[in-house]
Amino acid sequence: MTGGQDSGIQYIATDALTDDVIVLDAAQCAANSDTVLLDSSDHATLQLSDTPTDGASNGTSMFQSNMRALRARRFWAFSLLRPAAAFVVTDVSGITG
Amino acid sequence: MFGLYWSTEVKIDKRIIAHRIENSAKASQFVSLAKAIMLGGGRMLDTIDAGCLPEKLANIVRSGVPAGTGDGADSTATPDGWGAALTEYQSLANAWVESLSTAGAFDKMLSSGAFVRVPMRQSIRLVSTGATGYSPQELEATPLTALELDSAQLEPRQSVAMVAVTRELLLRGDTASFNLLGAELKKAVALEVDRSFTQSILDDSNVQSTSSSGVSQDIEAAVTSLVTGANARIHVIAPPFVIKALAMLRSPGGKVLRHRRDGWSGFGNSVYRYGRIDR
Repeated sequence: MTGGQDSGIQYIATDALTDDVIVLDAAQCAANSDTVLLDSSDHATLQLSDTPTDGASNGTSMFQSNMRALRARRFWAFSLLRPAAAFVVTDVSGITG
Repeated sequence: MFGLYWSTEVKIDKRIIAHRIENSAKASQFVSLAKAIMLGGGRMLDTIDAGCLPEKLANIVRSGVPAGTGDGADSTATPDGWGAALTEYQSLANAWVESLSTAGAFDKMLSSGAFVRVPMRQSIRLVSTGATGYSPQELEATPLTALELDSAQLEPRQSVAMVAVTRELLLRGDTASFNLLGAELKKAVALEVDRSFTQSILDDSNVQSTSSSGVSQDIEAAVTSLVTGANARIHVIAPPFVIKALAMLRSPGGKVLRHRRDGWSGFGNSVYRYGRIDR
């Protein structure tokens, strides 16, 4: 799903939002992107989970399971230049039309 | 005259296509580099020795970076040469970041030029109340207005994404495994940046918000309430199910409003405005 355009207004779908819609005037926002740093390990122990927890937990050894892990660190920036440049609609789950 | 205009346009299109092809190749090389780094387990020279890297990428890894001095200047060359050996890597990384425009909302907006691009860690001066001109009558004093400036600074943020795969997958040389790694890496980074980007707006207490009572009318109210100028670049960022619901909006007669890029259309006695939402 790629979104689309309606009368100059751009619609973008993202999995980063689950219950909110953000309406934004990008022309009133400052942003930039910097480099990506890559690092790898074949000895780390990772929690192979979307919701990792602190403290004691089951880890997976990359060495023991013959896996390789890659970590990408990306630097970027974003700032609303004016609060009136954005509007948030909350609690959209289950409401359509 | 028309011919000249057409010719210029074709040349520009060719340049854009050439730029995209070059960027696509560089983004692919960046994934190759990532794959090599994974195979080497962080020990790059091992990967080069094993012959896993194309010569061009091997040269990037071999490039020595001159040692710096305590004051941040290059000890062996001019200050402008600081980190110059890394520029080739930077070029690949930039191309890969540009390729994220198909994977994330933030990158889509950034690559389309919608945001104001500002250098990081720099003070931004922005006009909050512009100086106004007047057309005074004869003998009337001309008013002077103040130009009020607020200041802000673009602070860098960091998003980290990790991908773990089996060594067997990395050792396979086929296109499918390569594409799988590239797609997962792209998705992981783009999604994390989107999470942080959207959360920063949701957490901003100065941003107006309202609880939904119906998506289409809420979006209409939100767009109306934005304070915008003629150069506004309005974006609606939403979960996929909302975009789907908007794409399937129906007239009271039950007919799906079909996709079009612009215009107005009538159904029965009513007129509905609609556009194109790709699915």
